[in-house]
Amino acid sequence: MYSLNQRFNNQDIPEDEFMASGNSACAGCAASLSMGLALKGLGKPTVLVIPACCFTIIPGAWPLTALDVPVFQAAFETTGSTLSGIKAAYRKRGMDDVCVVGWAGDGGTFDIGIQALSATAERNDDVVYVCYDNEAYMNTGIQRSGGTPMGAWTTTTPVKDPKSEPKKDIDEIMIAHRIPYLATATAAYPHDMIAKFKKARSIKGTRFIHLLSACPTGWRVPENLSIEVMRLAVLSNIFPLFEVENAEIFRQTVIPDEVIPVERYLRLQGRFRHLTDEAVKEYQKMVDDRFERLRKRFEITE
Amino acid sequence: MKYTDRQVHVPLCSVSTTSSLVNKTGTWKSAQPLFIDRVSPCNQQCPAGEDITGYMYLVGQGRYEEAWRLIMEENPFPAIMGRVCFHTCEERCNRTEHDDAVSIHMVERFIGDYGLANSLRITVPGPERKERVAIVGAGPAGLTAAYHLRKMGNGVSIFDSNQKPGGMMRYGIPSYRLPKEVLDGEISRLDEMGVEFKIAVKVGKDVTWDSLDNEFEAVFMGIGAWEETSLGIEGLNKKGIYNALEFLEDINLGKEPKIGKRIAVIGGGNSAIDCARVSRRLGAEATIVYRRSEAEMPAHTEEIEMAREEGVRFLFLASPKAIYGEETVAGVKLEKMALGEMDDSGRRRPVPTGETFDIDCDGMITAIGEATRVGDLPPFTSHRGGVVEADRMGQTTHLRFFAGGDIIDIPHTVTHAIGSGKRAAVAIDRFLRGIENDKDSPDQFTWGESGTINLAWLKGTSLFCRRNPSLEVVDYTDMNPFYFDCLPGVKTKRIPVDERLKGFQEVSEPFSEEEVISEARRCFNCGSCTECGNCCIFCPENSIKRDPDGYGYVADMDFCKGCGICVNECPRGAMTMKLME
Amino acid sequence: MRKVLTGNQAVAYGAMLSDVQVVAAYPITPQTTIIEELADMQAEGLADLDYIRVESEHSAMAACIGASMGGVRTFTATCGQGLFLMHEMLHYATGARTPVVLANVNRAIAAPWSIWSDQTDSVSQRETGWIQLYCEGNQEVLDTTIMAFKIAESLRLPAMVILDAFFLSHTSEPIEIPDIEAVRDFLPPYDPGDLWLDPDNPRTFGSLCMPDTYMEFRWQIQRDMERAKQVIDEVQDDFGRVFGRNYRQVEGYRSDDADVVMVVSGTVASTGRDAIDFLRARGEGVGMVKIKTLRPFPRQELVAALRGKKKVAVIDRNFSPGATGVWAQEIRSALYELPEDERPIIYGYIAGLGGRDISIKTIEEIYQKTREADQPDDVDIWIGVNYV
Ligand SMILES: Cc1cc2nc3c(=O)[nH]c(=O)nc-3n(C[C@H](O)[C@H](O)[C@H](O)COP(=O)(O)OP(=O)(O)OC[C@H]3O[C@@H](n4cnc5c(N)ncnc54)[C@H](O)[C@@H]3O)c2cc1C
Repeated sequence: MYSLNQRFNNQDIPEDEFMASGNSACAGCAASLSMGLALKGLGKPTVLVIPACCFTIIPGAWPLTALDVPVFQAAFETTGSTLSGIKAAYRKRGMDDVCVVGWAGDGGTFDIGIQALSATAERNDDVVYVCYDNEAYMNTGIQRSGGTPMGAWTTTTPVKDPKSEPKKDIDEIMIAHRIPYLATATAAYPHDMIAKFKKARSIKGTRFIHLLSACPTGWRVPENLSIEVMRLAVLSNIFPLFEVENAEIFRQTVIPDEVIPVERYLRLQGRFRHLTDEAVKEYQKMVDDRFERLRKRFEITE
Repeated sequence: MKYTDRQVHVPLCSVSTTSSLVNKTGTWKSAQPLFIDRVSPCNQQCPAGEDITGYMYLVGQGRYEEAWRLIMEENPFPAIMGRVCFHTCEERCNRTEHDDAVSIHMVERFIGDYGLANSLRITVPGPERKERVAIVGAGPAGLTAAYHLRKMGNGVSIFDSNQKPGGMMRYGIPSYRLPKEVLDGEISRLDEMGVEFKIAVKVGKDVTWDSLDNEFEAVFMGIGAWEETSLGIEGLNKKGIYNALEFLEDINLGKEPKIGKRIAVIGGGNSAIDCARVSRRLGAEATIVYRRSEAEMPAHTEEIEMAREEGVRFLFLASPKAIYGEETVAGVKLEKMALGEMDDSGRRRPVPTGETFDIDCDGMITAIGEATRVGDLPPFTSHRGGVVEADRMGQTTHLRFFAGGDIIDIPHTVTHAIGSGKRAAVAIDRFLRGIENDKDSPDQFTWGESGTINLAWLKGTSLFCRRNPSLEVVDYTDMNPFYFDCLPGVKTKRIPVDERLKGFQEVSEPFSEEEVISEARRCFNCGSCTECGNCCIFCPENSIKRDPDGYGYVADMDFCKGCGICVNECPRGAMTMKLME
Repeated sequence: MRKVLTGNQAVAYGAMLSDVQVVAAYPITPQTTIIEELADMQAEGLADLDYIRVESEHSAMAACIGASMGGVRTFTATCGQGLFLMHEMLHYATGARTPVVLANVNRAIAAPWSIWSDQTDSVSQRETGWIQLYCEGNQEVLDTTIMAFKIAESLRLPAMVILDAFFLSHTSEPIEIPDIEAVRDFLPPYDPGDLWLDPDNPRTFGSLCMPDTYMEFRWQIQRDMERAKQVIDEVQDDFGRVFGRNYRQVEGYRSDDADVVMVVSGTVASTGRDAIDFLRARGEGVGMVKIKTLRPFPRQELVAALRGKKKVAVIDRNFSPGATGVWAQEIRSALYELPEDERPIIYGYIAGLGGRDISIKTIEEIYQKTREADQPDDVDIWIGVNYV
């Protein structure tokens, strides 16, 4: 069968399953869904490095695991260097075909792990680094990270003093490393996401994939809306989906039929509930400005 | 051992090798997803009980014969329906809130024509039982009842006083809307199915109602509404004055009625429009005179539009008071009307103003409504002014007699007639089999205001009605519109006006195959699982899988945490969340 | 083959001869020349290794753990601050049971900045679960590096080869370089067995442990550390048989008939030998015990060596503020099990911090103080300090 008039043809989605039921993610967790989709795109042989993050918990406590690929649970700030080490070992063993993939949260990427990540990218080690960005330290209970967006409530940026700085632009940081491949993706667009993972696998050198990954618990959205909220992030240009090759070729891979106001994205989430209409307006401007900077590059290279 | 008081069987480091499948996370949930087959608004309102989303699904995949057979489960006349049904389904189509309604009738017409062009047949075995059913009236109600009863294994004889079957479809509806080949083609299938036609036999005259009552185990009455309502003013016997039914019957029999060059058509319904449009085809000027305004006209807007294109003029808020002319009509005296309070039909009532004016004309057609000839009804069924009393399934006060179509209290359309014929067939079949009406009785499964009945749904064999059929109607807010691109609908093309006025050529042009497929694919398939896979792909628990033994998907409750993403991401509202005990 | 090598070169030779496969390292004085030497060896084609030039010691150890999980022999080197930055990952390597070998050049801790010799860096890693092997001379450095791989790999515990800054790292000695084929016989290629990230075997390493499972993994580390004492002996014996150089975890020097025994580690041992000879010539009943392993701590050998001695003087080139030198602590607790009449009195001395020289005179002073005092002070005595 095929889906008649649907936007996506789900027939294209690989049937392979690498993420088993029985995992310990919260209900509605986009991260566990993203993992399943990412691995569908990557295929085997793939080995994962997972630092401290929600995914320390999600696969299950010893002796259980939900993942059908080998995993090394690494220290928080070491994703980049652990990847480099494993890749070097495989190279020595003549197993260069193994795709070595890091799977870190925003805290482990934007903050504590950025040094190791930067070094791995600077050496252009042949690894894939995935940041599933749920925009705060969710595993420890929703504390502010460098990935937390401006205006958001977290347990360390209370409603009376929400985060006043914009989200760290990790994409620009990684582009500045001139790595061969960078992509943004989200499970709300599974075809786009899988295609990017497939493509990443086919490229040599450091590849960085930035996933927006809704956390119903931390974003204060109903569990059933985690896909919806990620979709709104894309449609409002809060989280445009694009890829960058060699820091030169910029391509927007999903162009919304109609860009929706940022307000729709913000108002769906409890963590932004306190934002005044005035603040939402400023937010819109900030998002527009950032997208405009990106758009110019999409245009130049298209 | 010195360091421990317990025996350990653990590896050197914490390496996990046991699948998390032993961890039954399903216990976490407080609500669970349910796959349901809901009714789409088009299906819910279809007076003929068609499974529109079902055949759209099939047509979208080029499975035309299957689509034809799916319609034929419910309605024996897709080619006719595609042309004359007023397709109220399209008004309810959820797609109207997205872009444009799906052009359902054009897809249906294509499928109907496909059936005719390919001589598709419905084969039925001979009657299973010796009991026979008499059908009186070969209009759409009678023909449909005959068709379904025959399919259900009953012997059927159909009586009609006219020379050919079809009822108002043949003698009322002009062929520029419904070509006679189409009509003949679809009716001829009943012949092949072994329905016995007793043509040119008027019951009540050539055979008595009593004899039917005696010879047949059950009788279905569908004698239609063949009496034109009188205007109730003087001078209606002047030459050049017709009533709509006489006029259209003449036209449909190929006769040339003697009518003038400037014609006033009195009335605001579909027959008035047809009379005016036919008049234009006869080379006359035609003016429709209606006592309310355009907004209150019962005629279908598309019909009004086409009449306008063809040069029909409209005179609103005018009511005939007298007819001028000696032998032949020469003009009409009209009273200006104003709009008053709402009446029972929900339209504003025309209120006489006392002010009059005249118009000239040399022909006049009255078309203010048709009613059943009371004298043609059997003496033993009760009726109110020709409207036969019957229950929702069509059973009359004389229990062996059933009724449908224009003689009962339903809107006068072919579609409603077909639906009523089907309902009556179900009721008759059950009556013959001695099944009492109980809580499972089919009238529990008739939907909406028009008493829609879908046989496949009833039997549980409908394309989508696999599990948990629900009569809940899906509206646009139940859908996830994101999954559907905005694609404007294909517009129906009509032949040029000068072509139309030359004769009785069919006005609207068929869709090409590509157009039909693209329209069918625009259908949201509201409320039906099309196995698109979203529920499965978006399940963070990987707990939704293809149903190994059938259609659709199953959610593994051992692992489902009840997040409800699947329900939110189901494009078509074919899932719901159910709170757990 | 004999060559004149610095201690750092000896480390590099040891790693090269061990056919190390992945090196991840970060420069820091005075360790730097080790990783320069290895880079040269790789570039010259002498060592077939993959070299990851990481951005920090933390990453160096993380990369080594990763590579070790990938199933290859891994090595890094650092000192002082670098070792401190690695601290978290030292623990991680143990818990992951990755037999990484690290050479640490003992360097003093900042602030204030000092690049000179001091054991505080390595003794501070006592609880990380690393085997710690202290070396006296450059030959021992080279030999111990080779042995460290064998010890670590057979126990699946990481091992640290420790040498004093400058006294060894930058001091040249003629040393014997073993034949690589003989080393290969002694130390076969690394076999990770089942515990490595086999791409075909989907297992999760390092899974979260709930309170009901965690202790078992820690206990196995302890069990294997205890076993390590025996393994170290076996490996040293093997090494001695093949290469003719014998090493012990605890080694006495003229201590059998001594009343007063000095306990030392690292390069102090070689100065100590001369000091003992000098004092013996004066007729003093003094001897020396050199300890090679801080972890596992060679409790039994030490008890055997010191049983019945009158006085034991422990020289610590490190200290634990608020307590005593680390070696002294360890020795005190080890000897406590002796019956009172066989238990020596233990004197603790802190000397040579931040590279200050421990000369024959220093040792003589320590001996003098020990002989004169009937009872030790309740805190360690700091030797040669200008108290302020
Ligand atoms: C001009 C006009 C245009 C219309 N256009 C449309 C349209 O576009 N779309 C639409 O949906 N509806 C249309 N309608 C309405 C529609 O035609 C009728 O509602 C429908 O045909 C009713 O079907 P029926 O089976 O009840 O009766 P009919 O179609 O009226 O058939 C009754 C049959 O019974 C026969 N009969 C009557 N008395 C006896 C007897 N005593 N013994 C034996 N046989 C008898 C008659 O000969 C006739 O064949 C139109 C009606 C008119 C008048």
